[in-house]
Amino acid sequence: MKHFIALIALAGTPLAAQDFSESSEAKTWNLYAEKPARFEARVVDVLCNLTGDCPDNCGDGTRQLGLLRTADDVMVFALKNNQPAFTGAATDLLPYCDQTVTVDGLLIEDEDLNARNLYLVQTVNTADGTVNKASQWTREWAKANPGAAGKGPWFRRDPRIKEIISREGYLGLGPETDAEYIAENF
Amino acid sequence: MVLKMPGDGNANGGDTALRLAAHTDEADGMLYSRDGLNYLVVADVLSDFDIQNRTHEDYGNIPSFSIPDPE
Repeated sequence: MKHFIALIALAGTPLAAQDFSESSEAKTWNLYAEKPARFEARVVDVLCNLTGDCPDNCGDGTRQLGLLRTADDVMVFALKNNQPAFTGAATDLLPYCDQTVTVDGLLIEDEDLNARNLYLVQTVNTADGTVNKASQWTREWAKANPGAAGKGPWFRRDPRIKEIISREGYLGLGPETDAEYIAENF
Repeated sequence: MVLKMPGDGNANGGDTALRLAAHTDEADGMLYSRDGLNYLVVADVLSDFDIQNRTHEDYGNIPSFSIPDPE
């Protein structure tokens, strides 16, 4: 009977939710279900991990990237970087492809929402002790769009976004629907 | 999470995902699950029904600054 109880206890250990908030210095975004979390992980190409389709260097910026956590081998999906500007995490994590780093940021965990293992990365700490803010997305966008320089947020100047809005409107339902909505609400 | 779209080599801000954002679509592909998350690799978009869920009618434009104030 003792052996049986011991086996149950061992089996339960990996399933128990771990607390990664200790030592985290992540700043709140006042998001529902956010939890500060600092953990060591390997930066991985999510599609490669799931399917075995593995191009060099995590796809050179064409793939979504994840964080394979050292403590429990859970693959955390890196949803967001540190910029409040509709910017994902893949561009900021790409320089660390296949490296083991320590990340600090916010986990989104909520049973009612069925949300788990989603992450907003704020800093990436490398093995040599360098701390890098995950705020490079807009810099990389500016390099890729030299003709879109100017004031205001990037999404007001992005050529692809401007082209779609000119055709489909802000609501995506055409310029006439936009005009009606703006007349009623602004 | 959609990890791949047909005809688009870029799953990090690619053109197909941008074109279909907020649309209702019927698609065929593969579903993968790991650690409580579901991932889709879309092989074909069979039908594109455009925007069906007009959230602005109930909640206004989201986020509120998405439409610049015409002044």
